[in-house]
Parts: sequence; structure tokens; C-alpha cells
Amino acid sequence: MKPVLIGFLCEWCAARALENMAHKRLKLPDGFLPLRVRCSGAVEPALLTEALRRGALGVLVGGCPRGHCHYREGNTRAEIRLKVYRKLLAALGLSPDRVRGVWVGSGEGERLHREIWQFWKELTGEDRPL
Amino acid sequence: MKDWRVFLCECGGNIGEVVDLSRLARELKGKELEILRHPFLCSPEGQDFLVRKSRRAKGVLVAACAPDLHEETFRRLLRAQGLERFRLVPIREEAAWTALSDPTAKALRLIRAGLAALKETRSPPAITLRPRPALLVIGGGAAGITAALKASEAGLTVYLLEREPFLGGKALYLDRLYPRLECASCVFSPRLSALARAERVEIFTRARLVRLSGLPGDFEAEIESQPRYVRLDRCHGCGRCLSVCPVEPPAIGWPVPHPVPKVPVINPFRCLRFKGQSCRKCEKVCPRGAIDFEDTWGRRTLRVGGVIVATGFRPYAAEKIFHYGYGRLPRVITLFDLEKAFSSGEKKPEIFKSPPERVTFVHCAGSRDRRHLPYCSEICCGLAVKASLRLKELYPRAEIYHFYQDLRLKDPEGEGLYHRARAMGIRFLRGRVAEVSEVPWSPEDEGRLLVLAEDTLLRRKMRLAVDLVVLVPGFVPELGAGELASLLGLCPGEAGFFEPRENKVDPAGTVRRGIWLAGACSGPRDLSETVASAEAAALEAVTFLSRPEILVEQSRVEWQETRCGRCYLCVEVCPFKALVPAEEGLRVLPELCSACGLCVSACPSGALFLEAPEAVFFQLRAVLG
Amino acid sequence: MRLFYYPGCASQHLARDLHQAVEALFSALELEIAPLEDWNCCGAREVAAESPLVGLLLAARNLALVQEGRLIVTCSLCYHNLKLAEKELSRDRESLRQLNDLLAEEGLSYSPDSVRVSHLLEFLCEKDNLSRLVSEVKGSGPRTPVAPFYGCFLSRPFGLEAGLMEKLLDLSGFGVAANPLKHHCCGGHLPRTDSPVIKELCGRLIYSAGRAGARFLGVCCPVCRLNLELYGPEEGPRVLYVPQLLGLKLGLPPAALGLEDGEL
Repeated sequence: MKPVLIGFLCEWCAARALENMAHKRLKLPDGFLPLRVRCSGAVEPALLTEALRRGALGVLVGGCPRGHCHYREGNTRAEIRLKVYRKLLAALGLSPDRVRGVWVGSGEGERLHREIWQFWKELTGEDRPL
Repeated sequence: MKDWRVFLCECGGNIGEVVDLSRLARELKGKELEILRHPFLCSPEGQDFLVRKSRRAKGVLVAACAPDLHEETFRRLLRAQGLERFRLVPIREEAAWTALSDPTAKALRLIRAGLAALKETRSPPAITLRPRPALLVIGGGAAGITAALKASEAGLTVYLLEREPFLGGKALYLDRLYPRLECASCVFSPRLSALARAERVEIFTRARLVRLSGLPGDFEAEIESQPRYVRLDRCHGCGRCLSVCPVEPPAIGWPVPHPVPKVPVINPFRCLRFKGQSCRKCEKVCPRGAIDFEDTWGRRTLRVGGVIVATGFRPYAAEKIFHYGYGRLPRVITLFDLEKAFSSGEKKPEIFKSPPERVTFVHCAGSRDRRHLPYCSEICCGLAVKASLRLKELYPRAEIYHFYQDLRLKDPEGEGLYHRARAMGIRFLRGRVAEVSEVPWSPEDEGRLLVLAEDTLLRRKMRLAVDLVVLVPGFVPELGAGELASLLGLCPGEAGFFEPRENKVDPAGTVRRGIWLAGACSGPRDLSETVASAEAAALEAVTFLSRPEILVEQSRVEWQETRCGRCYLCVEVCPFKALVPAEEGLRVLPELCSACGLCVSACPSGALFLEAPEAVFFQLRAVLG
Repeated sequence: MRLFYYPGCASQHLARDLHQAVEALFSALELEIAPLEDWNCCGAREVAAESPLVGLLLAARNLALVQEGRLIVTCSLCYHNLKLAEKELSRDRESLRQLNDLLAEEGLSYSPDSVRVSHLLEFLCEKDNLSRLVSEVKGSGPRTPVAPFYGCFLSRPFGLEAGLMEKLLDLSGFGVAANPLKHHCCGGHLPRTDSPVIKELCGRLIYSAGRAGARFLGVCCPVCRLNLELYGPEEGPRVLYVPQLLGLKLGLPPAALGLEDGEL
């Protein structure tokens, strides 16, 4: 299977940032597959585990900028959860760098684009084409 | 029987030319799946096609553009014929426009994921509710006033919230208007007085929003107001109290050019009474007994159907551009200081103690600069040219220079203004000013300011000794916009301005139904654009709130008693207090639940259930195979 | 904490006086700071045309020699280059690995976490050193006004905390003349291109200090001093190194600070 990076993007900010990126026609790696979620805080550990277990090389959780969660503190919870989840991965002897959080506003398409490519490069060594 | 339908929209060529839709249809083909294709599903024919071809289907998946654009249209059409199971997969944004080399494969995976979720989950139930014909307008500047007026004319009850003691915002300090140089207050003050007379408008000054909850159509807004110490309901604005105040300048007054409401405010930091003295002069002289030293902070809860955000903008803090010396050098001012000086009505404002011989306007102070504001504020060029004309009228002998990057004068009349300025001898030089300094280039210019710049058209360095430097900073969102954004759950863009739902076709809408944007809170605007956008927002609000009933889709979390371990982690994480411990275990308050799924992800025993997070699992499995 | 002093190439010719003054200052304050053994060029502009790794290698070798501890730098350009290497290499692990491979031939290795580069001004303004300096100040002579001058490389991109030079001058008994152009450019390497610009730049800097009423212009960088002396006007405040000024207030003989008697 070709390498896959799953992106759980919150429908308020991160998914809109992806749309913003699309309007600028910025290209993403073929292996990046976005899935929309209500809130980054609703991405439970079981979902991360499921993604990794089924062969995803990495998982990106995209939420609103700090302090701007539409459900008050969902992104903060997601951030804490990711921190703990990374420790868990390390304890299991897996690389903690396979999961990552990104906090972007709906207008920040370019930043999301940079973050996704940076993550992709670290996972696969493949850089964005010029 | 082909129970499930997939509609592939070509979106003109946007999808059709990038994604190989025939291959997609071939790959997707299945026993119970029918694949349909249309060049423009959002067009009237397309909608008709969707309705016609989805008859007797169990569920429909549409692969098209981002949900913001047409999801609601499609959903409403399908619901009208009793079809609730519907999913939209935005293959335009997620595959066609962003896939690096193989958009078709990506679209295929995403559609498969969508199908899995469609088949395995139910659609959320919808409730209908009757919207309240009341509107909250946050911000009492040009935008807020216009929106409030229009909405009240259309029959809505309007609550207008203003943080300052007086309405009017930045427009109060405008002297002349671009591009025709007509008097600003002649244009603007009739609107202010119309508002003061308007029916069904309640004005809250010195007030702010502290909480908003509920559903679109029926929000509950809590506002907090600062004491004014003069009662709005009693005072009739005679102004006698102003002349008796022993403090200089008076501690009671209306420190704006056109105070609305014409009710003074007491500054407790200057008033002797608040310093422990017994002065009661204003109270004694007031014929209506409007002075109230016992006034306190207040809270009130309003029930409204919708909210218009009209918080506006403010000029960028020019102090931050260190090398321009604003705040440090006495004769460096901003365009807004100049405008204020003009609008204060004095013929020769105090900043020009002696007539300036040479004046420099520094355009784009901080704008289009990645260290300050990376964007262009669009309206400042016109404001600067306008102000320089006014200055030239006052001081015909002054030499006036504009250092600009690109002159962006909008309106057909903008160009005429520019030619008028040129004809009057105002000079325009293209180039960024490098430095404004009190250290002159040569000793004979001691006492004047030095402006260093480059004329990039003539490729020469400029060193001007000038008497007045007018910085023209760009615009940023008004203070507190960020807090309001998080309070309302709106997403600010990179620059901090509120983002409309869709820039072109829905500039007043936001990601939240029932909340609209008016004026410069979504980007720098001049007065005419502000008024236009405020009217647009008012129209949206009126249309929405005068519907007999609206459909609100609302899934809510389900609690499964047998699985629950009574740890109440869910109660702790719920951001809206929609879960409460009860005798039977847990009670879900449906009117507070927003279906965010935080409790579901927190529950250690899987006792809480919501369709949306469940659907993500199905999507994930389908996408990874 | 091991402390080292990095003299930099200029200490060998152009700025022997600065070097002397710094050494004298350290011994007067009883600070035990050894000059870094076997140091080399900091990787200054001269190698900018080559691959950036060449400059980084030169800087990294110095940092590797420290092994563990702090490196105190006086010259602005050295400070910039060493700080640049410090920042770059703590970020770019790949370059660090390449450079460490090269350094290993000499038996050296550099780890960004164990070496800290500080400027002399920062170092002197730390609490202990400052109180030592204040207690060593001799007499309460007149508060001769001095205009501080930082120049480019102490202002950007790795700017020092604001007001360090002012603090030192003030506490050691000088008056501080407000110099609005203290972060301006002295012209740097422009003399090599024989540009007329430099005369204007330096002329204005000296003028600015003069109009603020300063008798001296305090600098830290050998290039700034050279430019200001050569291209500045004849009259106006004299340009001296800050360590020299501090040394004078500590009662050190001018000769020990690299000053000729006639200079004052």
C-alpha cells in the first residue's frame, strides 16, 4: 500500500483552511486523505489507533486556533490528548512523531499546506515539488 | 433495486476536467449503487435532476464542492421528498483542486469513505422552531447603526450594544468624505438622529456581550453594562451639568462631536465625588434628577433570534513601527490624528502651531509588510489624498509629498481626486519611507524632521527636511474582536478579521447560522461599503427571522445506561453543561447539546453515542481498506 | 559553569586595544575567563560566497572547542556569526550531523545544548557581574556624557535586550546621552567598494551623538569604530570601546586599556 496520511480536520476551522488552500490551488501529497470531524476534541484515541493499526503512516489532527474552539475547549482537550497519545506510542516502542496536531484558522490555508507537507516530508522523505 | 445513488457533479470543468469521472463511475459501480452525472448540480436543471433521480432511494451521496456552498440546498430538496440520508463529499476542494498527481484515485477513496458512512449511519433528526423577531446588534458605529435602523424598519425588535458611552464609532471623527469631499457629519448625523427616534430599538451604551447560548432563531444573550452615572431614561440633554462641574476639564460631559444619546457621562476617575469629596453640583442643577451616583454594573439577559456583529476596525498602532517615530517625535502624527483635528472644528488645529512649510504623507505605514500588516487595507490611499487636499486648502503655500507604494484610489471619481491633487501641486513619489528621524542630514535643518526615502521611479534617494509627517497606517480589527470571536464561535482569519461564510456569494453570513457580519469587522471598508454591507446583513437577518419556522438539524448524544460506569467524565468535559448527573444516572439536556462529540471521545466505557463520530470510524475503515 | 572569551581575528591587528581593554577589565573585576585555546575565524562575511556550511563549520569549530560552558564575545560580527551557528544548528539537525562528521577528524564534536554564546554586554549586565562592576568603580568624577552605539549586528537579527549599554555606562558613572541613531548602520564593509555613502552614514552618526551633547561615542564593534574614526568628521565626539570606557572608571591606567595618553 502506498503511504497514507490521515487528516482529521475540524469542520469549523481546519477543513475550511483546506478549502482556502484549494482556492489557492495549492497541491497536497496524494497520500493525504482528509476526513471531516465535528471538533478536534472528538477525535478519540481509539480513532487514532484504528488509523495507525490499519496502516496509516501518520495521523494529523487539525483544529481551531487556541482559544477559538467552537465548543469552548475541544482543541485544548485534543492537544492534551495528543501529548499523552505520543507518550503512549513512545512507550510501545513506536515513533511518537506519527501523530501531530495543527491549529489553524479558516483563512490560514497556506499555513496548513506548509504543515501538511512538513509532516509528509518527515514521514516519507518526499518533499513538495517546486 | 439500486437503493443508493451517487451524484457526480462536473462543476463546469472544475471537477470534470481534472477528475476522470467515467473511471470513477466504472470503479464505483456496484449492485445496489446507481451512479449519475451532471455538469452543474447546483443549477436549476441540476437540482431538478437531483430530485428526479433520487426518487425511492435509501440514501444519496453528492460529490461536488465544499459544504458551505450548496449542502443546505441539496439537503432541503431531498428532505422535502422525505429523504433524510444524505452526504456531501467535497471532491472539488479535497481532490480536484489539491491532489498532486492523481485526483481521480483520491476522489474515489473519499467517495468510498462517504458511502460507508452514508450506509452505516442515520441522519440526525431535525427540529423546527419559530424564530424570535428580535435582533442583537453588537457595535454602534456606522455599520451597527445602519443595520439596526434597517432591521427596526422591517419590524424587528433591535438591541444595539455599544462599548463606548456614545454611538457613532469611527465615523464621528471623519471630517470630509472620499471622494467628493462632502461634509461627513452632514451625511452621517441624520442617521444618528433617525436611530434615536426609531421605534423598537433599545440602545445599550458602555455594554458588552458576555455569553451567547441557544440555537439559531432562539439565542440567549447575556450583556454586561458599565455605570454611566446619568440615567438615560430621565436626562433630556440640556447640558446644564457641564457648566457647573468644578473640575477642569469637566468630569461630566459628552466628549464627542455629535453625542447620541445626548446624555452626558461622568468620568469616575476625575469626578470629585468619587474621590471622597462631597461635591454634588451637577446633581443639584439637574432639573430632571438624572444624576445617579449610585449607578452600578448591570447584567441583563436578552432573548434574540439572531446577532449582527458590527465591531469594526481600528488603525494599526503606528507606535509599533519604531523607525517612523510615532509617539516619540512630536511632529509625527497619523492620518487619524489629522482627521480628528479637522473634525474638531477648529480652523487652525493645535498641531499646526506654525504653518507647516513641508508635509510628508507616508502611505502604507506598516502595511504590506510582513513584520506588521501583510495586507493592503485598500481605503487608506483615498483617505490620505483627501486629507492632503484639505491641508492644501488650509495652507496653500505648504509643499505636500506623498510617498506611496501603489496608489489605490477606488471609485470612478478617485482618479479625478488624484488629478486635482496633482494640479494643486501635491507631489506623489513612489517608494517606501525608510526612516523618519529628528537627526537632520545637514546641520542647517536642525529642528525639522528628516524623511529618508527612495523614489523608485527615478531611482534616486530622497532626503527631505519636513515640518510635519503624517503616517497612514492600515487597519486592524477593533480591540476585543478576538474575544468576541471565541464567544460567538466564529473563526477569525489570519489578520484577525471575521471570516464571512463565503466571500462572494454570502459576504454577510458566517459559519454559524443566525449570526451575520456587517461593516469593517470583516475587513477594512470605507463608509459607503460599510453601509452597503450593513444593509446586506440586515436583509439577511430580516429574511431569516421573519420565516414562520426554520429547520434546525440537531443530533444529540444518546446515553446507554447499561454501559455507563457513572464516572461523570462526560459531565466534566461538556462545554455547554448539557449533561447532568441524575438519579437514573445521566440526563441529556437536548436544548444545550451541540453534538460536538467531546463527551463521546471522553467516555471510557463507550456509553455515549452520537452518529457523527461513529460515521468517522466507517469512513476511516473505508478509506484505508 | 566554564567561561571562555572569544577574542576574534580583529584582536590580532585592528582591535588590539579592544582585546587589551577586555582582558584588563576581566582582571580588574577578578573574573576568571580564559581565552578560548586554538580559536579560529568566526566564519565572517569573507566566506559568504562559499557554501553556507563553510561559515557554519568555522563557527561550529569554535563552539566545539568550548565543549561545555559559555563563550563570551565582544566583536559584533563574531557575535552574529556564532549566534547564527548556534541557532541554525540547533534547528537543522542534518547540517549539524555533517559538521560533526568533519569535526570528528580533529576529535571534536559540537552539541548545541551545551554551549551558550553571550555578548560581553549581556554578560556584564548579569546581576553578580554588575554588582562587582559597581563596587569597583573608583571615585565619583564628573558624569561625562557618552552616547551609546550598538550598530547593526547587536540590534538585528539577534538583538540584545534593550538598554544594556546604557545600563553599564550609567552605573559606572557616565552620563548617558540619548542617541536616536544607536541602532543604525555604520557602513560595514562599504569602504572596500569605495562608496561615498559611508561618509554620509558615519558623518550623521557622529553628528547625532554630538547634538545629544556626548563627549564620547561608545561602541563594541571593531568595524564600527574603524569606520567612524576614518570616515567620521574631524571634530565631534571621540569613538571609544565600551570596555575602555568602563576600564577608565575602574581606575585602570589608559595604557592598559590600549589608549594612548594623548587620546583623552
